Amino acid sequence: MSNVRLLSSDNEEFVVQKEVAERSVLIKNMLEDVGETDSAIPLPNVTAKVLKKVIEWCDHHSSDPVTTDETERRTTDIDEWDQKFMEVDQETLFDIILAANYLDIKPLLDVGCKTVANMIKGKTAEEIRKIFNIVNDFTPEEEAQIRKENEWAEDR
Amino acid sequence: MTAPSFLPTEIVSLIIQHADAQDLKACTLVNKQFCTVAQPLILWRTIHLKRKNKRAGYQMINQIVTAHPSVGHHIRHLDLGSSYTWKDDALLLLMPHVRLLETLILRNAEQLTDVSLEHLPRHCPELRSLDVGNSRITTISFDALRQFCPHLWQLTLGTTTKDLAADAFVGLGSPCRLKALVLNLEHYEDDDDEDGGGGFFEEDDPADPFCLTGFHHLTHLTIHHGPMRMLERLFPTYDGDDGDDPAVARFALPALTHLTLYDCPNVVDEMLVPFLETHPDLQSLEVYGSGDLCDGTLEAIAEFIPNIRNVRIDDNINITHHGLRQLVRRCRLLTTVSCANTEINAEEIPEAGEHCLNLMVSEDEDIYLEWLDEDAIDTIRKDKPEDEVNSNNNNDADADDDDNNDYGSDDGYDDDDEFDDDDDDE
Repeated sequence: MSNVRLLSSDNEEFVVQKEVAERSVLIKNMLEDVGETDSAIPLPNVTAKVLKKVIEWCDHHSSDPVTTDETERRTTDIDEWDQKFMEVDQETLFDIILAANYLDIKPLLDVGCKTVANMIKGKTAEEIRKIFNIVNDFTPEEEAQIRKENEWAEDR
Repeated sequence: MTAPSFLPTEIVSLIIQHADAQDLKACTLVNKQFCTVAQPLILWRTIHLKRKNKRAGYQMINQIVTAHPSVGHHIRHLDLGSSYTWKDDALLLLMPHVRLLETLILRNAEQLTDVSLEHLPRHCPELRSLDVGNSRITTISFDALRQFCPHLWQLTLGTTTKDLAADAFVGLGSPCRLKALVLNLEHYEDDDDEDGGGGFFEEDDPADPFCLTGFHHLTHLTIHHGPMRMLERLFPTYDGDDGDDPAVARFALPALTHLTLYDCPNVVDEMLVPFLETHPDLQSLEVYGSGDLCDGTLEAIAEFIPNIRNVRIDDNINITHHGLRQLVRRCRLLTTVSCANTEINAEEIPEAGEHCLNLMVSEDEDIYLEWLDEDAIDTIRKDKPEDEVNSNNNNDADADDDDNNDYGSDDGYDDDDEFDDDDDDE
């Protein structure tokens, strides 16, 4: 079993099994393009802290079958291990999502997005703004207009 | 990658795809980025065309099929209204594009057949609720539903033809996973009377299409205009031809909690009482639209289903206020009783507030009771001793034993045990 060396944005090196690293489609494609290499793969968008988490996830899921069926991936609930894994502070959670997006690890991206979706469940717009740390860029008039437009949408 | 204030739109989109309708509404108000992503989802998720324009449905399907990027996978609820006439080719064209559809209502579906319906379940495995209207669906499509739609729990069927084969529901499997079944059989009524069941209902056919044995998970059953033979099958009487064996009814629908019979002619106490006796878990009973029930049904409810919560007996003109009072007193979880058009005079139930009465009458007409709300029900229960002493002695004679039981347990709420004992004895 060959290993792969990954270099985080803050220059920390991680040695992981090829099979684990290849959960990332980005890395898998890189390895295919470059072939056998001894040099570390630089990941300028991922910090060591986040990369460590991502590797932990890939390691746990290294033997998962690859699901290509979109429906199947969308509807399965978050399993227990993933739920525990995602119990991190919000900043780390968003970093993991962004890293999963950059590294192209669809199942991890999906688990991350579902976790955030669960966080905004039942929340008001103001509470959602707090979660995402964003400011309201609507004028009161615009806000009223949107409210009015969506009045018809059923509350189920 | 520290502050998540710059989450890319593509990721915001991935996140709120998992949000439900209420959350989407909140998301549109968060900021402009969220609004851009959430607004189209709101519009697409539920398509409910009410327009009379016959072209609207056609245009909508065209849009879904040809849109790029695809919008169909956002659609969860689809109802093109009754002015759109469904045809097999249109449904076949549409179904591969709406893979996450959860609710599909096919209103004007007379021309739909298994040619398209058979493939629907494979393309839309997330279906939870399906209204196939008056389509010519047969057991082939039911079989596909059983195979590919594990979440399907609600099925509505209205039918104008006799195409439904004798073994129609067999495809759904036994035990059938459905929890809610609505049968709108409005157009069967006349045919059935004229033909005497020939063709559609074979005499004594064990594979009666509407024989609901095997629906072990069914909690909600609604029948509109049920034909007599179906009702006889469902509610066999002890001494009727079909129902010598009350066991037929005993395990018919073991999970049933809500039964609604709308405009089913000739449903009488003799049919309903054995059914009630064998379905003690009912929470709601609605028999309205045609009126042949008497107080016997109310007595049976009180006797066998002490935990009932909702009763609707509109249009049953033979119901009396004595029956109503007994029902209210003995069923302690009862919260509403609807009794419009039962001709129970408001003066007979003075406990009912004004909002419970039908006041839309001219001055010289009697005012009748419409329904009983929780307050009225509470008052009736409290008033009971005085009521009994004053006026109702003669009327309550036949129910005296039960009343005594009630008094004994007024404080302790032990009615359940007593009723259970009764059940066992019988």
